[in-house]
Amino acid sequence: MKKQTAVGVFLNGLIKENPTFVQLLGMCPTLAVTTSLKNGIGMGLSATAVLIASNVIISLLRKLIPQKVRIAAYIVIIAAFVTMIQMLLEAFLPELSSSLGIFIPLIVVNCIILARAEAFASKNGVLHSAADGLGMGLGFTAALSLISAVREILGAGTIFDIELYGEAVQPMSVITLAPGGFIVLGILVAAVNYIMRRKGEKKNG
Amino acid sequence: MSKVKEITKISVILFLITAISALLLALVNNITAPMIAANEEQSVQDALRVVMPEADRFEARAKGDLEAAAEEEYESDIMELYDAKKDGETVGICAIVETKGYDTGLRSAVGVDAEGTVTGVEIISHQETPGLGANAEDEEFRSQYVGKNGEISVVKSGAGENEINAISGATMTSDGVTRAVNTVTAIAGEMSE
Amino acid sequence: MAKEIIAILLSALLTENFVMVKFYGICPFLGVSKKTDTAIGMGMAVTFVMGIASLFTYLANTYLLVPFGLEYLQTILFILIIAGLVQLVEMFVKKSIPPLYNALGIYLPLITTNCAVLSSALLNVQNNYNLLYSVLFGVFAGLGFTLAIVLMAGIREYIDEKAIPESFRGFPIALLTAGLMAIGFMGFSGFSI
Repeated sequence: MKKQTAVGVFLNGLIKENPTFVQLLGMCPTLAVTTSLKNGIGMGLSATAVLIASNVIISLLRKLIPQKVRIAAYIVIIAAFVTMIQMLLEAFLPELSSSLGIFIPLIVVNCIILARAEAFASKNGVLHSAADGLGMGLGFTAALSLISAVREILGAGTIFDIELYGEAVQPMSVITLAPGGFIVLGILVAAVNYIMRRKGEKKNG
Repeated sequence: MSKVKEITKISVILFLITAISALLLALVNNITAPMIAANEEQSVQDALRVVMPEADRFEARAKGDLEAAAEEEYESDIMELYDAKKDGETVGICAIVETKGYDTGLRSAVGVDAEGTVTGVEIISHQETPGLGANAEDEEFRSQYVGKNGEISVVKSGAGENEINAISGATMTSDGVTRAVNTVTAIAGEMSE
Repeated sequence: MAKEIIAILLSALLTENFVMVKFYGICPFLGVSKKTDTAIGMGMAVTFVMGIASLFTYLANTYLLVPFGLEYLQTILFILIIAGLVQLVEMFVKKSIPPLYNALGIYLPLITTNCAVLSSALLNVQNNYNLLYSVLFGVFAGLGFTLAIVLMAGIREYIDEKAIPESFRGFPIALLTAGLMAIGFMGFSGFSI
C-alpha cells in the first residue's frame, strides 16, 4: 500500500469508504435521528467533532496506551468528548439538544468512532488521523443529510421546517416514522450498490 | 518487565487517562452548567408569558400534595407551579407539566385563570415525530385549548364543547397535551375550593 | 405493582420495541441476523448483559454519581461499567460454562458497542426507575431485542434463497424487510394498560 496524502485520506472517508453507505456502520443514529434535515445535520456534525477530537488524541497517545487495555482507553477518551459535546449543545443549542435527546450520549457506542480509533488513529500520525476523522465525519454527515432530506420532504412535506406543497398534498407520514427509516435507507443503499456496480462494470470493460 | 510491574504500568496509564478526562469534563461542566440552567429558566419564563399574557409576574410555589394527587389521576408530572400575578393580585396559576405523548418528555406550560378557564398552552420541549406529533407546536392546535373550562377530551374531528380535534395522525401526542392541560385545570379547581 | 411490571414488559416487547420502534441496537440486528440459531445466541447474550448492566449502572448512579453531584460523568462511567462487565462475563463463562461460551463467545465482545445496552442504562435514569424496575426494564428490553432479531433471522433465512435483484441483495433487502416488520409493530402503538 502506498502512502496516502492527508487529502487522499479525507476523500477516502468522505466517498470511497463512506461509513454509512459503504461500510454500513453507525446505523442507530442513521435511522433514528434522520426525521428532519436539521436533526440529521446536527447529529452528523456532533459525531464529526467527536471523531476528529478522539482521532487526534488517540493518535497522539498511540505509543503510550498499552495494547491490552487499548479499547477501554479509547472508550474513555471517546466518552469524554461525547459528554463535552453534549454539554456544549445543551448550553448553546438547547433546541437541537432536546430533539436529538438520548442519541447524543449514544454517539459513544457509534461503531464508526471506535472503528476509526482502532483501524486508523492507533496506527497513523496526527495530521492523517485528523483528516480521516474529518473525512469519515463529513461522509457520515452527508449520508445523514441525504436520508433526512428525503424523509423530511416525503414524510413531513417540509425542508428545514419550510412548507413545500401547501394544503393540497398530504405528506406520507409513515416515512418519518420507524418503518420509513428502514425503507428509505434500504432503497438508498440499493441505489448506491447499483451505481457502484455500474462503475465497476465500466472499468472492467 | 515483570508481570506485576506491567500491570501497575497499565493501571496507572488507564487511571491517568480517566482522571484527566474527568477533570476536563468537570471544567466544561463548570462553564456550561450555569448557561444550561439559564437557558432552561429563559424558556420557562418565555412559555409562561405566552400562556398567561395578562400577568406581569410569576411566583414559583413549592411542590405540594395537590400535584401528587393530580399525578396519580392524569399520569403527568408537575415540574413547576407558579402563581400568576398582575399588579400584585393573583389572576391564575401556571404550571410546567411533563407528560408522555408518542415519546416521553413532552414538556408543556399551561395557564389557567381564577375561573378555571384555560388561558394558553405552550410546548416547551418534546421528542415527537416531525410532521405528526411535532405539529403540537402549531398555534392552530394549541389555541383550541384556550377558553375551555373543565375536563377536556380528544376527538378525531368535529370537536364539540370541551373537546379538541386531535392532530391528524398523532392521537397519542394530542392525548398527552390534553392530559397536561387537564392536570392543571384540576389543580386550579382544587386550589380555588 | 404487578400491573406496572406487565406494562413495562409489554411496552418493552411490543409497543416500544427497542429495535423496531426505538432504533436501538440496529448494528447487531442487521449484522447477526442471517441465521436463526446465531440470532437466538446473540439475543440471549444481550439480554443477559442488559440485565446485569442495568443493575450495576443503577447502583453506580444512585450511590456514586448522584450523592456527589457528578451526573455529568454518567455516560463515561456507564460505558466503562458495560465494557468491564462484558469482559468479566466473557472470562467467567469461558472458565465455568464452556458450552455456553462456545455458543455465545463470539458475540460477547460486540455487546459493548451495542447501543441497546447503554440506552437501557440511560433510560432507567431518565425514567426514574427503582432498582427492581431498572433490572426488569433491562431484561425485558433485551427480550424485545431478541424477539426482533429472531423474527428477522427467520425471514432472512427464507428470502436469501429467493431471486432478488442484485442491487438489493444482502443489506438493502434486510432493511426493507425490517421496514415492513416495523409497520407490523406500529400496530401495537396506542395499546396500553
